[in-house]
Amino acid sequence: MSRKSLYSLFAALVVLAMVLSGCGGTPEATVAPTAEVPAVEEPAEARPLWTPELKQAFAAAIDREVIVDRVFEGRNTPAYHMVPAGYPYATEPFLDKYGTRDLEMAKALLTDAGYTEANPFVVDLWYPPEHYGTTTADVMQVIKEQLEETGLMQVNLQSQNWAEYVNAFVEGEAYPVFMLGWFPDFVDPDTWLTPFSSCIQSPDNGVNYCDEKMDELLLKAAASSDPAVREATYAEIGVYYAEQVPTLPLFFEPEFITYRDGVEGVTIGAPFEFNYNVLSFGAGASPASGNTDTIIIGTTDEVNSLDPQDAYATHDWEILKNTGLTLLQYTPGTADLVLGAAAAFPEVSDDGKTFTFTLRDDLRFADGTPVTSADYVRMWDRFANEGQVSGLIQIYVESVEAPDDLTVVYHLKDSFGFFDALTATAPFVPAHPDTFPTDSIVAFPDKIDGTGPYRMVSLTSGQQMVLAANPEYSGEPAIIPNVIIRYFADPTTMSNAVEKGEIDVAWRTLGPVEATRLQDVAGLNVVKIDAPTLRYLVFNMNYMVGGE
Amino acid sequence: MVTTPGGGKDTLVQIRDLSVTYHTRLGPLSAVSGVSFDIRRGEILGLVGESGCGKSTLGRALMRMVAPPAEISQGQLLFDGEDIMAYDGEKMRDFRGRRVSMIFQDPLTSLNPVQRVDEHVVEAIQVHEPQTTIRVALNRARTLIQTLGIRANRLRDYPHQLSGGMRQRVMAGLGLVLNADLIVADEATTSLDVIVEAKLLDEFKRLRDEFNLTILLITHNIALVAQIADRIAVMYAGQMAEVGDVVTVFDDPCHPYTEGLLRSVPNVKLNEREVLYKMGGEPPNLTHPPMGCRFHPRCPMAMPICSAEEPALLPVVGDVEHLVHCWLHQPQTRGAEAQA
Amino acid sequence: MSASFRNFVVARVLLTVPMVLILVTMVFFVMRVLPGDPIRSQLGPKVSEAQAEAIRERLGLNRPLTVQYFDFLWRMVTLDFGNALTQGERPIRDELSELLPATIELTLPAMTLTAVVGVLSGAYAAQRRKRPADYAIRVFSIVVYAIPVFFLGLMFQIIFSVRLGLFPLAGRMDALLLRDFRPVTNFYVVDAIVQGNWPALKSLLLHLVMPSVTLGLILMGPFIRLTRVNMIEALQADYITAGRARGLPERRLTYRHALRNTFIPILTLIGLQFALLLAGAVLTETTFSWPGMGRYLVKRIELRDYNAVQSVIAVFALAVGAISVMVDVLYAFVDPRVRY
Repeated sequence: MSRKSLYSLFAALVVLAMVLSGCGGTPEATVAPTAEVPAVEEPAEARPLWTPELKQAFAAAIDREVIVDRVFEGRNTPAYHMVPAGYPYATEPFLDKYGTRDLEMAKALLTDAGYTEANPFVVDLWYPPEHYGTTTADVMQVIKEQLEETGLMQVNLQSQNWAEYVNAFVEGEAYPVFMLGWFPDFVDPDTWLTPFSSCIQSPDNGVNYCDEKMDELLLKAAASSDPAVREATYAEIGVYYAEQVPTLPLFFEPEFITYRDGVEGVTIGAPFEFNYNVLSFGAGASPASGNTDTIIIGTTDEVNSLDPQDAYATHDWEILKNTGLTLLQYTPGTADLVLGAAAAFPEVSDDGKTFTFTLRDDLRFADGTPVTSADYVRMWDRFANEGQVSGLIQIYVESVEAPDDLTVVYHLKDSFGFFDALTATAPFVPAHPDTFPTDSIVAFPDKIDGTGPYRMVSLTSGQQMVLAANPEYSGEPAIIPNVIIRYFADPTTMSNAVEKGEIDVAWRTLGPVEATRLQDVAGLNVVKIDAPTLRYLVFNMNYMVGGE
Repeated sequence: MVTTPGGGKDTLVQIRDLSVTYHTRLGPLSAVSGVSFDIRRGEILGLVGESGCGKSTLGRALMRMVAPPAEISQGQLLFDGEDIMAYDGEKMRDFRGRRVSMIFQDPLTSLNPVQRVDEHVVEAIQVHEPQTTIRVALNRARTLIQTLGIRANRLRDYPHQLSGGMRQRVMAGLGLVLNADLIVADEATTSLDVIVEAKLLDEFKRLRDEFNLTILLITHNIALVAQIADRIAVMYAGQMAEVGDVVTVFDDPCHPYTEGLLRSVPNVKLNEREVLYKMGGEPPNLTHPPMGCRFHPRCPMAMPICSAEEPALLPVVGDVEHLVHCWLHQPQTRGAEAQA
Repeated sequence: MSASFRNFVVARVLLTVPMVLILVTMVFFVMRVLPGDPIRSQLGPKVSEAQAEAIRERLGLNRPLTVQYFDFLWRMVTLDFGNALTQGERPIRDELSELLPATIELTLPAMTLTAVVGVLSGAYAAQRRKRPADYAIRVFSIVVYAIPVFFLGLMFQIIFSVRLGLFPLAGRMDALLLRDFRPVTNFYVVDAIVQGNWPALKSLLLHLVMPSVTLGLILMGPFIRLTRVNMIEALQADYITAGRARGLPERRLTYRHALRNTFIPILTLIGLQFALLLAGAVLTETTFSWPGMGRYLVKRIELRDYNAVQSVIAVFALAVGAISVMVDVLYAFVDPRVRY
């Protein structure tokens, strides 16, 4: 290319840049506010597409058992409620109302809504083809077939890659009905219901559903600390949910964990926590490290952030909960809430808005620094750094006080009966002041001197993390003193590694294909975990029809 | 059937009944057919003929360097009394360069463009005499190059940095560096201009005189042969037409082809009104050579027997050194006697 | 070094600048034109729109494009690169200082293997033309070219690591050794040698074998074929025949003479394949869990992380540019006929 043309090309590019910037070509300019829905000039006949009857037709027409069998060879668990079966106060309202399937009911509902064979209900059903795995397309295909079996529906499958997909449904206009996945933040039905059906939170998930009665019920269930009240209210919510169908739960995807013979103590319950400190090597074990004092665990996850007041990913929370002690915690393998950093269960005020915790007096960071209530106030202050998880806590907590060294008082924005469960999550792990300053987030610390059974000794990005037993831990010392987390880029490689014996345990995300293969390999144990990983359909209440 | 004076200590190369066949898709092509002659020690033998007569092939055959699809289909090659057809690969490799060496027509492409002059020479030495140290080899190279009239500072040059004449001298040097007995110069001066060519030929003569070299000068340029050769061999269509002392043959050519050749040479003192002599006809297709004597279709003196039977290469009456392949000079002919 | 050569080198180096600039500019705009937003892509729907907007504002994504563009250019010049937009917002320079050496440690042996084995096999195939070895090598070159990288990598893993237990499966170093290893330059091999940590070095080299052989094999096909074709041509050159006439052994003629003359196209190919090397590294790094730049780049593109992608592409472009300049400079040393 001659020099002259090179200059011209460059000049053209610079001009192009200026023009683009002049147009203010940044994403936000194209986000339309969700409130003003129809186009400006259209006559005001536009109305939401979705009525409860139409949504019920969907709910009645699909057959989860068939989906699970055809696409997943029966591995997955049909979901008859948004709330997983192992959770407190869980019910199965969709099963109660629709059975496993009620095609006749679906047809009746559609006919009543005025649809016929000649004039079916036409709708676009959206999904992201890669983000939830390649089986998603198959699932959607089966759903389409099941819906069209009514003879009164015509379903057009549409897909878009994840980045655009998220943008689209958050903007809230483009998709009438679409698939999403959910993973809970804490162990309580509220986190499975409020985000989708409360007026405040449902837009965040593209549902845009708002109903007075639902809000009332949700608030009532959330506010009470009385198990009996909560149980009854959640049952009522369940029934109402199955009627209103803000979202339609489909199935839960299991996870698989594989470990070599001789590894013991692998137990993962409903809270989906993997506790390293109860692992041990039994008879017949041949540790990958060559020594029973070190266990090697493989994962394909990546470290996103190890700052307790920022981290919001499953793997990060797992590390934080193994290196830190939350106020309350779960007995490994169960959903039983027991004491952690707290010396006793909290005192709840009458109005349910104040939770007072008394700390243990022997809490120390791994370097010996004592942990006091001031650390908990500091923890609250750190949420002001706008870490990814701060929103989760700030929705519920108003302020934090420390009247004395061992007392922490949480003032909540409203009465939240599940606050106990919230204090068992990773954001409630105190952060060492030297490693994690109050005014900034440190996502990749060199080490973590926490309050948990382990401390993080080193992190070699993309390769491995080393944990060692924390001598200052206030509870039972970990059985195996050293843990090495080995990071893999590819589940197949990880499965080869556990087969060969280079790692002792292969955890997330092994995937059903590899898990099935490894089941037949001698010397390995493959366990299916009922993970609270839900796939569901969202009905976008902001999707308008009519007008024009 | 061949009868030639042969053997004796002054005969370096004896070629008997040599045939080289090319296996083409149109059939076998006899590029060299039943050729026999001697090369004597210390002589310059000029091998001449038209393009395609097989002289280059013959030169290569001497070194057993005919490449597939050609092969030496029959014949005997005796070098200094030894049968080199019986040599195996390794012996032959050693033989080449050390006892016989070749100088090629185009010195630019015959020298490795990424190798310097001294590297060429040193390599040749070390391959054949592995115990020679680099210093000794370099000295030999330097001396040799200087002997050939090239300054020592050109040793580190690449081939493309030398002139045509110098390159050819380097080639000559490569031929001499191992003290070969026979040098085959295949059109060695064809690409050079006359003045450089003359210088080079003087060089050859000097080398022959000084080192008792034997030179087989393959060329289509008869004048060259007249200038420096001792004997001349004329080839036609893969066969030897006439062999003999250069003065004798030039003064008194026996084979009609030789006669025609000599007459074809443009005379420097060409008179304005004189027309260039051209020999009629074309060389034959060697896949289907003519019956009998291969020259007979073009021969002004062809006789009936010429198209029926092949003559033999026999001495002319009265001169045992002068051989000719022609019915005119052999018994069993019913034609007119050859000119004496 | 002559003045004209110096000028040439300087001009070539300067030419790299606009090349990198254009590439980075293109990436800059393409990334922003691509639908999908870095914040949403990574955080998903869990984060509220208000929060996402706040993050965008903080990261400077709402500034006019020209401002962002020139800010990035300036950062690049000072090698600042900024922070990754998402997932921890790690300074990109820190990431690259770990990832780049890892990728280089993988690709350097791979490229060496490709060039050396590829060229030598091609030369051998040319020398043994039309014989079984030639056909075998040609088939091999096609097979190796057609096999997908990850398949080959997985096969090696399963056969040599899982079944035979000869090599470790994945990663750069054994877990326990890595725990105590203190890298300085992040070129683990260099660090291990400097620190005298021999067990670590051994582990490193063992871990390096399968990934670099996988990557090396995949790229070998074109080298073998190109070398073979060029060698066949080179072997027919006059200087090869001349060399043979000097008694040089076949092996020497092939590897010392002909091969050296085919270096120019091979050098060009090395320069071109280098870009493919980086692409192949992505899949190799994934299969062997090698913590390199390729893997990082793919992940960041998925996350629409503008900063990271721009930075990595800039580094890639610089690397390719540098290799390209080196190749051009090397021509002068490989072929003495090239003048500047």
